[in-house]
Amino acid sequence: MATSARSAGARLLEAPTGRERARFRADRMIRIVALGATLLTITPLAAIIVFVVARGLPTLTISFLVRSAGAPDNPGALNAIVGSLQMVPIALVMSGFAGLLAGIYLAEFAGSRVAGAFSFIVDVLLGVPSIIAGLLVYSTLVAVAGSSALAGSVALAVVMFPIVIRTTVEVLRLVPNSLREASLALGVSTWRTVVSVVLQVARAGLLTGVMLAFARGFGETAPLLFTARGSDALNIGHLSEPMSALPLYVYQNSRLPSDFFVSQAWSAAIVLLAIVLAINVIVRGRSVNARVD
Amino acid sequence: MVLVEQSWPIWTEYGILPFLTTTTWAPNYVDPNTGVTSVQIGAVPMIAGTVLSAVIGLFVAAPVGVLVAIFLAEFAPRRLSLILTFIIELIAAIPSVVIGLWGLYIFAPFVRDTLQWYIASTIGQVIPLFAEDPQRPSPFSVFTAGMVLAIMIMPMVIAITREVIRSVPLSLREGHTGLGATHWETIRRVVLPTARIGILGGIMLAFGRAVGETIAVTMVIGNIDQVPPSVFQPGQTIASKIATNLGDITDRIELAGLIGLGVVLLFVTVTLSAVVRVAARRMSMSYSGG
Repeated sequence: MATSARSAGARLLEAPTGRERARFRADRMIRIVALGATLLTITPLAAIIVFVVARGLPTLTISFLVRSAGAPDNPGALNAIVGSLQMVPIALVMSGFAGLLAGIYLAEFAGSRVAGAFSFIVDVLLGVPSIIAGLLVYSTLVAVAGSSALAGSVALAVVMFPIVIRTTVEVLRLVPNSLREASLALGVSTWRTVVSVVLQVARAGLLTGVMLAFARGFGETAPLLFTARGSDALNIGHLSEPMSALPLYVYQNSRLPSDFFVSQAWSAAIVLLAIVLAINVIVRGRSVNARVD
Repeated sequence: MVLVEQSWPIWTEYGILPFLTTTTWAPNYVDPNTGVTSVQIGAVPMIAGTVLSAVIGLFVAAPVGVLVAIFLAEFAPRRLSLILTFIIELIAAIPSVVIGLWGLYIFAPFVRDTLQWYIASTIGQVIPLFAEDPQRPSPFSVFTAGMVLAIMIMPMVIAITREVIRSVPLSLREGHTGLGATHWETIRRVVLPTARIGILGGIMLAFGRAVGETIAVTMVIGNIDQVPPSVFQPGQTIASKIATNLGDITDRIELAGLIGLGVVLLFVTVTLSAVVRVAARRMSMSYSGG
């Protein structure tokens, strides 16, 4: 080739050949296509938010928020809101403490073999569909004691448990080893180091994991379908009785052959979406800001 | 374990093979020709619906997701990339019942009148699998379910692919770019081949997610226990069958069949993620070892 004989400097000053132009064009094309794909991907998020708000806002009234579905006039979603606010925190208590302890054990105390085996199991658990959690609780607890809010909480806890473990392990891995070593070198025992140094440093991160598990549990429908099952009556504190939850309310109302109930499903979807996205934006947004700055 | 025990009758009394090969689901099946009543509990319609919808979802989500990941990891400025990543993570956070509601009333009719109509009137004329019922094209179909799944698994494909692309060593890229390759040529010839296995693993995990997704699919697939003659016909997945029927079933053998479906689902998803994790572990070991 003639070009190889010339110096690189001279080569750079020449106009690009036709073949080079085609290569540059391909490069530009793929950038545009990739940008298009990205815009296409985030379109559903915008579409979902816009339509949920547009369809649900007209019926999102005060009485919707303060009256139960069983109320004789102007039924609302209070039973579902109150149900979610009971079952999800209970599930969080069940899965949160156990998950944190398991995560701390795996990250700080377990030998690499044990930790490897268990984190493998946790990974596999994360891939198990949430309806299986519902099925499991259905064929154990519900088969014996009937459907109840408590069974719903247990099913949610089964879904949330591996999430808490996973984020706990990941957050604790981010704590620099030098901190642990500094503490150990001062003669502090291992568990004391974990409690007073590692956990203090990782506190915000651990809270993030727990909050995300909460948001996840708040939005889950499948585990509740045949465990808590839903109830039109306002249920406060009767954990052995069926109880509604926001996702369950949306699902059940969306299948009713009545425009009124369907529009209520949209209104409940606004409340659900707002709560879940708010938690996610607050929790994740902080870490994004930290990375941007 | 418990699920296997509870579904025992379906495996022993009805038989594994009949369960996995029968194409009708009716505990009191009356043969239209002979009038004989029999028990027909077959998982074939649900397995077909599950596989079809998940494959459709993957066919859309995999190429688009990989392109988005390339954009985020390679082309976009850092700040934009972080913001877009954040937005895409939010899509994953939307409760599936909300996506289902939107799918049911907004997206399904939209898909029927655009994509479905277009595909059915072109490819559908030749291949029956893509033909639509011309009398009453249904918005609720395996195809719609696949599209909803594509939206839902996209964030997962993107997140994993982005991580894998990022982990391709800088020295490999520099070697190629230094020889005069354009950015895209480097991605195509160096980055993607190096990241291939990781991307494949991510796609398999996303497939597992698609197979197990319940509520959103239940709301748009039409819930008819048939082996769909075309992707534009209603169907049923394993998860949607359990979601719609469990709870109002008293028949012992049918209940065992539903829980049996759960066992099949559990087995498939656990196997998928176990295979991917084991492979990933092997890979990272050979990296650090070499």
